[in-house]
Amino acid sequence: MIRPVWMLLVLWLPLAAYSSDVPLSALGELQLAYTPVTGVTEVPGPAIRAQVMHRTGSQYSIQLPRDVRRARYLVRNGEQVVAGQPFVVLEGPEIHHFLLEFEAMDRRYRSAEARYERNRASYEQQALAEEQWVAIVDTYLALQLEYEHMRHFMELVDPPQDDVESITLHTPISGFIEYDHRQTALLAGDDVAGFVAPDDLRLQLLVPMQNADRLSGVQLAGCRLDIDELEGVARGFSLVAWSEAIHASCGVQLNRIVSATPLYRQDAYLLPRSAVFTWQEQAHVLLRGEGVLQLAPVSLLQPVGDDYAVTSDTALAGRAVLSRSVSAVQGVLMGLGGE
Amino acid sequence: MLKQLVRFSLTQRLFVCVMALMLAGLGLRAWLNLPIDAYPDIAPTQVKVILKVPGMTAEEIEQRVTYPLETELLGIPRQAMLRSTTKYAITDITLDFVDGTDIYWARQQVNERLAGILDELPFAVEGGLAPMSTPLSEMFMFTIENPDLSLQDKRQLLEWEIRPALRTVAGVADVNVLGGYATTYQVTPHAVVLSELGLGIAELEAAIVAQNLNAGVGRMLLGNDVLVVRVEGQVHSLEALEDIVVRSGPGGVYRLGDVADVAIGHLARYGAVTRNGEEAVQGLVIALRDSNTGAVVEGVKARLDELAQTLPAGTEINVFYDRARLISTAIGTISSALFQAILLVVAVLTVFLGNLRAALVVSMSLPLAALATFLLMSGTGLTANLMSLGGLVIAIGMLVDSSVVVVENTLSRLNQDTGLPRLHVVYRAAQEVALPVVSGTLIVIIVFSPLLTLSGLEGKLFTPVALTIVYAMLAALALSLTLIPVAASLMLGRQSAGMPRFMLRLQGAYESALERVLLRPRGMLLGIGALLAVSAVFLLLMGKTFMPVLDEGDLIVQLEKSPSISLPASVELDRQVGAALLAGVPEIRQIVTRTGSDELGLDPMGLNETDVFMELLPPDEWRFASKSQLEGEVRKVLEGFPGMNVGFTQPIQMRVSEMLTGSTGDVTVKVYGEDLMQIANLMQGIARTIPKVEGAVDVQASVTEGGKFLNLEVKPELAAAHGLTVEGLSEYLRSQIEGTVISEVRQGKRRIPVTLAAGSQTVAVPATVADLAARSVALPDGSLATLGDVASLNYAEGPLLIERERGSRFGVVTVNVEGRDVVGFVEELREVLAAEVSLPAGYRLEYGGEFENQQRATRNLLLVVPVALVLILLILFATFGSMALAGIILGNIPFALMGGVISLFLSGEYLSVPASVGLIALLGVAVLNGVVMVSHFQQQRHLPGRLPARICAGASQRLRPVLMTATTAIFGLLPLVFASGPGAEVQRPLAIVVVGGLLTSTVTTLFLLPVLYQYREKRRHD
Repeated sequence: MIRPVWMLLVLWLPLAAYSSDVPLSALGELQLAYTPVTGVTEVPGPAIRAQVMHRTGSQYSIQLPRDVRRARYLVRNGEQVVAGQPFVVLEGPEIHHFLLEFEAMDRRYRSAEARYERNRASYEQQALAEEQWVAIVDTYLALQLEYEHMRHFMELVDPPQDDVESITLHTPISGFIEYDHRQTALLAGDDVAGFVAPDDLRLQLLVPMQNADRLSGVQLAGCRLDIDELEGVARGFSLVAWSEAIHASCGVQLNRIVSATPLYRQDAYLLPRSAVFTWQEQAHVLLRGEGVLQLAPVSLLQPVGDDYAVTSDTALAGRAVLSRSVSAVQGVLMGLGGE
Repeated sequence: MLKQLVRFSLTQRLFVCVMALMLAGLGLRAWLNLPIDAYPDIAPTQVKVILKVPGMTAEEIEQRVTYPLETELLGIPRQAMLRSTTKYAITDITLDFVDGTDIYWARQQVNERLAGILDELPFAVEGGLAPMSTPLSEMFMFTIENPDLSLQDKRQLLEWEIRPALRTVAGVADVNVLGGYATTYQVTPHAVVLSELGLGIAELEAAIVAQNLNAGVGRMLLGNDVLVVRVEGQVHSLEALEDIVVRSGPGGVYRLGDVADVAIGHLARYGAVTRNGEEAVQGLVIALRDSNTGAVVEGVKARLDELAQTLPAGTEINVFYDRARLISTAIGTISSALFQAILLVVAVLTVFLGNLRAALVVSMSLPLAALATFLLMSGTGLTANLMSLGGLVIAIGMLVDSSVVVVENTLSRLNQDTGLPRLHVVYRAAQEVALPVVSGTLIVIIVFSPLLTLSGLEGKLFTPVALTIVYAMLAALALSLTLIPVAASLMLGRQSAGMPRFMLRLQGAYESALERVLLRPRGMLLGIGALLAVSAVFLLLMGKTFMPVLDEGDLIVQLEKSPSISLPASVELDRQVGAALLAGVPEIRQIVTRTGSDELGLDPMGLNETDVFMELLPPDEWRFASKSQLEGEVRKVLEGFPGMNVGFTQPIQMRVSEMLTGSTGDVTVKVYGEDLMQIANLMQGIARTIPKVEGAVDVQASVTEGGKFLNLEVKPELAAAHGLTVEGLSEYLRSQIEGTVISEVRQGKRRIPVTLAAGSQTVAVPATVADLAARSVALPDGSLATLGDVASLNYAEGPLLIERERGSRFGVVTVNVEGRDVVGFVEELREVLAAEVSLPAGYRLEYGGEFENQQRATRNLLLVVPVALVLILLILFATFGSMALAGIILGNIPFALMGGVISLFLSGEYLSVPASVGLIALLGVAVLNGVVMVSHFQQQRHLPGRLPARICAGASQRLRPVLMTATTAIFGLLPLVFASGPGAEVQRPLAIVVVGGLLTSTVTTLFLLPVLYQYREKRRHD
């Protein structure tokens, strides 16, 4: 004997393909479960390349005034240091020469300065020929420039010890130190180290061009950063974006290349993956209604854990979607089992 | 020669007795060693080619693999059918060869053609010839149970411990592994890192492959000794794999672990198994063609017992299908019928002969003829099965006929008391009847000879029946002329020769009845004529079917879900259905569901297809009287699960149907054509129309269309600029979506594939099209782009499934028939479809399934039975020298058949192949009885007296042999009529026909034949 519910089902099935609602009574003993839909304003995208960097010009670098035979760094490359912290010991006979040179320079500068001061009065009194005065001034200024240059460097040098063959430099600012440990020789003019202030440390992101204008943030493990700037010049297939300063909690190292999850501005809904099925060439979900399941088309954006971020013309927020036995309902819509 | 044989036997009685004992001994040995199976080997010479092409769509595989291969294979001689099924990532090509083709030759032919074309097939093609099995080879199925093991562990256990052990069992072709997860070492590259290093996927793969190996170097001379030198690089653990160096240079050394996540993963799953609602791992033992099923199952069980001690604690092998159970039940049913038949026949002989000694002498031929039959079966390679043993049961009643004739004549001679020595009397009696006995046996053999000409499934089923009967009859004949005279000479005396009293009374009554009939035959003739007319009407009204369904004791429900369903969603529905069936039908002991394809690809089901295997409790524990009622209950539970097509079958039935037609179902309607969409539309139309025909259930149109694909087209200008090729991109994407096996790690006897695949903690498998489009791709030149940058993504529609037969595409609609005959159903279906479905030019329908077999069997029998009748006519003419007398004997045949038809109709059975075999058997009995009767009339023709009185006296004298022949045959078959166990279904219609036919043919032999003989004699004298 056919139960009334099955008679109903048999009568209803041929029409199912043309209807957008599925009566719950037609679903027999199928186990149904519903999950509430939540709204979101940001949707994550596939991982992109990111590098912990500083923008051009934001690094405080220290250049060597003279060649150095040996440098012994006291801190790890990339370590966070505080201002005044010793970070490198420069060693070698040239250090002694350098100190002597600085002493000599100091004396020469003082002498030039004294000469300059002395002759200035004579010049003001027109007791000194113009050409002579110009030569004195040139010499003085040249020595001053050279001296100041050496003095600035010497300001970073800890007070000299007995050992005149080494000097210890301390950090000019607080931040992350960066030096090139692969260099075989340190020559005059080379950077002995660079320092990046913590608030200058950012993520440089290569963002797929098509989504770049919607990029609102980036997610690292346990750490979210907003986007500070999107450059206008493309690099290959991508645009470069800069995050805000990296939070200490992010725990990343300078220059490190990481995969980061971009977050795009998008009003979307999160619903379980198991709720989505394809019907008439379009992704759909089934919304719980009064005694019926209502078909609602959705556009799939991205997977988010076990969920999908979707958009839909139907307002889904606050609604519940069928998340179990969905394929059986799909079969019902296709007319399967309606013998 | 016959006389010499009898004389030799009687003069060499000790020798004959010793020979009989030897025959018994050898026969017993043959019986004990005879391969036992439920069915005879019904498979044609069949070779299967299974090729897997990971990631390719059905249409692409059809174009690039199936079509070229089919073209190559079509040229192989002796092929009867070439069929193929192409689905996502797999193509399954089946070649049936004409019967009698050597399977090894056939496999060699296919292998040669395959090897010849393999180079032209896509690079990714893997696979080849399937194991040398038949559809009946799936004989033992089990799941691995252990609550402490994960699905991966269970699969490893089955794959690397149990499977290799079982494959060493003689007769095992392979062990198919289903369900669970095949463990891999999964390498998930970080595209960003690779890009930074300028490493492509191909280079990464090459680095892994090049370093994960051991290489032999050679031998180095050390003084007088040699030292073998080798280079070792093979990794044996996940950690060692992580340490493989993939890039080394000024920038540093980069190991695999630096550029990729290396973790334990699993191969892409194409199927799953659940047991009672929980995912499980299943092993399926496939037997070699022509192996002894019983012995193989025993060997498998013994090996599993041995293994039990070495398996992890708590592991249990849960057997849910054991062919040996079906075999023992079915063979038990038939053996019990055989035993009962022998007892009944002995009892009948005792009653009719009125002498236990005489009955024992006759009965002696029964066990010895049976043992001799086993010996002949063993010698000719026949197995003991439902059909061959059924043949023996059918023959039991007829086996004693020749011995009865010898013993009955011996008793008559002894009764005459001629004063001759007993041995001489026995000799005279035996040699007198030797010729009729031989010709009678010859007639029976000729009657059954049409069965030897049947082809197809019916031929394979009924040839063993005919052969067994022929063997048994020949053995009985030999015994009746050798051992029986010897036994008679030893056991019978003059005191044994009297006629039983009831027989004398019966003779008196018969004589007076026959006298009345001979005087006024019209009433009897009208009565018999009316009965004949009634039987003709019954024959027209009677349903016709191919073969009664053998109750295999288990039940399979086939589910077909939405074609695009994912494996997890499909398994979830299987769980629900399984749980509901277990709760709603307590007759189910356990449920094992199988979704999707098996590992070997022998049965490449889609993810939307599920076989729900139900192991049932013994029938005496059911709430229902019959299996069909139980099926009704299952159907009722399944009605609660809409959105799925449902079909019912049984393990062997399913495989036999697939073997014969490539699909399951009582009736199949195949739509042949070229355009797949048009075929799909026609199939849908047919599927909607079929339910209009009464009796249609489980209508299923195979889902061929509805595949939705994402097409990626590489942007050529960008691809060229960055060195990207289609092959490179597809390789890369395959590793992202499905995973690619690139190498393997060996751990003892376990081999773990190393795969390039997404799905690690940091790199998830793409899950939407937008996700895929935005995925970073490391280009060969080291630059990084998203997939959407270098390729355009478009949706495309395509077929999910492409089926071909002899090079033509087709779609199939299957339907089961309930409550009516299949032939009538198809006739009505043809009319309905012709009226309601219009076929475009180039498209045609073909009807097949069980119906096809029935039609073929009918055609064969209609051709061969008349030939057999002509042969019998010739023998009769040679015996009597009169066409009229031969005609009278043959004229008895329709009256014998009418009883068979009437009894079949009244029992509610359909006219099937077994019933037709019963009708053929009736021919033999009717002719034999006619010969017994008419030959006696002829012998008495020269005696004085009126014709009616002479006929009455003659008929009366033949009453005992005629009744004995009929009753032994009837009682021999009665156990089959009332047998109820699995296995009885096939033989029951046959037994009903013979029993019913014997009743009417005995009456017509006793009354109609004398009337016709009288009429003929009168006309002759006139």
